[in-house]
Amino acid sequence: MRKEFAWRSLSLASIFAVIGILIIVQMVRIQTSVEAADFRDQTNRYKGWIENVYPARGEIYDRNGKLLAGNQSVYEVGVTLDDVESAQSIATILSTVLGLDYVNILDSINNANEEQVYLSLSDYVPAGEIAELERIKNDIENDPNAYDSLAGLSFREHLARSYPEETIAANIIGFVNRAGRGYFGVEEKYNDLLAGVPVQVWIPADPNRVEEIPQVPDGTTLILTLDRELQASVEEILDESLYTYGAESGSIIVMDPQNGEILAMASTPRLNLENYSDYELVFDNASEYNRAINMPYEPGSVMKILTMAAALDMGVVTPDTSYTDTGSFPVGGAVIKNWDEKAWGVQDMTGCLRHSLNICLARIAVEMGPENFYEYMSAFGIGHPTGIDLSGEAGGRLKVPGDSDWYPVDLATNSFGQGVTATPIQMMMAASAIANDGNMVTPHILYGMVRDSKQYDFPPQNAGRPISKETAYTLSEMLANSITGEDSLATIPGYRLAGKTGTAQIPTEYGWYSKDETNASFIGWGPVDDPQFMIYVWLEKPSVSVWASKTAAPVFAEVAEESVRILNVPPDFIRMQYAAEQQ
Amino acid sequence: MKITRIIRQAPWRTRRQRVGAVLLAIVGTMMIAALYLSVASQATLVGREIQSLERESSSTKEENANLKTELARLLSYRAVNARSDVLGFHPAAAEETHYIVVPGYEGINPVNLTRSIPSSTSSSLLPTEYTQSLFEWFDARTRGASQ
Repeated sequence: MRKEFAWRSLSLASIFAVIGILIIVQMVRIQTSVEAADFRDQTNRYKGWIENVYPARGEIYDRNGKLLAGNQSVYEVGVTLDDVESAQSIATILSTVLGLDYVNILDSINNANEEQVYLSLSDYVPAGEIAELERIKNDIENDPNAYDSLAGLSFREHLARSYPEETIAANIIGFVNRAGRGYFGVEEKYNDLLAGVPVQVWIPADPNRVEEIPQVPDGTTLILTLDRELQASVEEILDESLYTYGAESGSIIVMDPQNGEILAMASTPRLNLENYSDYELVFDNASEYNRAINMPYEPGSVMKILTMAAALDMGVVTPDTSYTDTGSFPVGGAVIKNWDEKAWGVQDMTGCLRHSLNICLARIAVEMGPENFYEYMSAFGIGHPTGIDLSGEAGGRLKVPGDSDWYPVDLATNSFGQGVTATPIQMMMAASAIANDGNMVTPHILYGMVRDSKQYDFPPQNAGRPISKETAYTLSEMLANSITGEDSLATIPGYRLAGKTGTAQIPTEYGWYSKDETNASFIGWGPVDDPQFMIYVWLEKPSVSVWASKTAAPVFAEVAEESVRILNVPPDFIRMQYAAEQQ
Repeated sequence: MKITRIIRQAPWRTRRQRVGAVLLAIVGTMMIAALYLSVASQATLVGREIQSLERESSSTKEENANLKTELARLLSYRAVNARSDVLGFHPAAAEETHYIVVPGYEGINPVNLTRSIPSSTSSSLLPTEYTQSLFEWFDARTRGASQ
């Protein structure tokens, strides 16, 4: 009986065996078929994808934590070509909302490459416009009678640079273009740090391999030494002073002379960083971006403080050294004259600075000799870039004996700041030695950086010691006396300040100096006994008066007044009173 | 006289032993498979959750950046000045400024941004159960038990 039905089991087993064999054969056939490569490609496509991960660009803050440069979402608008139902509808809506060219969009969608899956139509679209597009898209999708279709239209969010303060500190910050590259200022100087390192990442679709996705750290956040309030105030003062004194352009720097921290640095013109594409409309050339560091000029009499510092340090003169000013001084075949071409009679060194006498400084330089004079100027950093951490710093020019274009008369003219070029920041660095007990500090804009949740603050850098502490003290007193002893416009009530004007003639393209145009400058610091700020003012070609004492000096006073208010520097008598109480 | 007795097991007994062995193997395999499936599915779920959290983190980062920028716009120099003008405030002039001694006050120091930044989490904080294979998990368990 059992054997009678054994064939049934045998038949079933055979059928299953044949099916099994057929499955195996089919598997082998598929694996070795012509289409196998396509199948493998399809499999790989769903395994994951490669993505370029651009880390968020580091933010930029001022010293008080005010955001100067951040990031904000913008959108890329594109179409998934296979899903597009009506290219005309998409072109119509995008041309209406985004102002894109209808024909271009239509042409791009209709003539897209066959292998192309996605087509980008516009980028850096602000969130407001995307909200409008989404509203229209939803309306059309929800309307069953809608003739239009925006199927295939998609928006991809990503971060882009944003500057909430717009023009404030624009000359220092610089800007970032759409390719993510920084131009000018901090954005260019620290581009590598801010941008982080973009990486190409394989994103596996398999959730079990999620750990293989590397974490891409964001760019480094920078904290600047700037004080936003002071920066904005200084910019306002500069803009007003250009109007008041009819100057073409200008620059003002406020620095802490004890550590080189730049507290404010204003320059004209300024760009609204939110519209950085206007760059070419605002600037004629790159050196105008930040005149304070990019544009060397003949500083004029502000250079006299360096000559006097060198002479005091060498012992060539003392504050009481006197001479008789006859109104002319022959040097190297030329005759040096004072700014008013008059003779000032017997003068001591404080009078020499107070009346800004060219003959006095020329005599001193000649007495020092070219070797010593230029050695001191070099020690003050004249002719070399300061090394400030902003892009595009210019070095200026200091001709020295041995140069083909140096003549003996240059020694005399250089002593009062003609025939030599320097940027305002170079003058600041040099003068910091006088305000800071003989120690020169390197000006810098970076206070610290934040990376991996740690803040690294940068210590001030000493740039050398060109003069002694005693010389620095003596000269500071002389300069303080020189501006308080006359009807100076560079003083503010309650504070003892030191400073010096500089009115420099401007060389023309024909080789001689212009009679009507000057560069008006002022350098000063205070309070003299404990300098908290150093201010440099440069007004280019003021038309109301050519003299710095009438233009740059009052601007200095205005900036000093704002500086003491914003930096919380009490008047001298309060500080003295408090110091006395503490003893 | 040699007597030989042949004892044969009953056929049903032999079949039962074979079926028992096969069933035991099947049950064992199923248990291991179920365990592996359970661990794998948990790992997958966690993986999905991580993917979702990473997307959320990325989106939160963007939202955070947007909010920071928006806040900075609202507190920008010009915006604050405009509001203070409307409210009738003006910058204090020198003659309006009074200085008082505040014991312990050291003045305004530059900002420390790290005070407000929480330490970032990393994927290494995942429990090992979600990263090790079944055999590694089993090995770890047996080592733990023997210690």
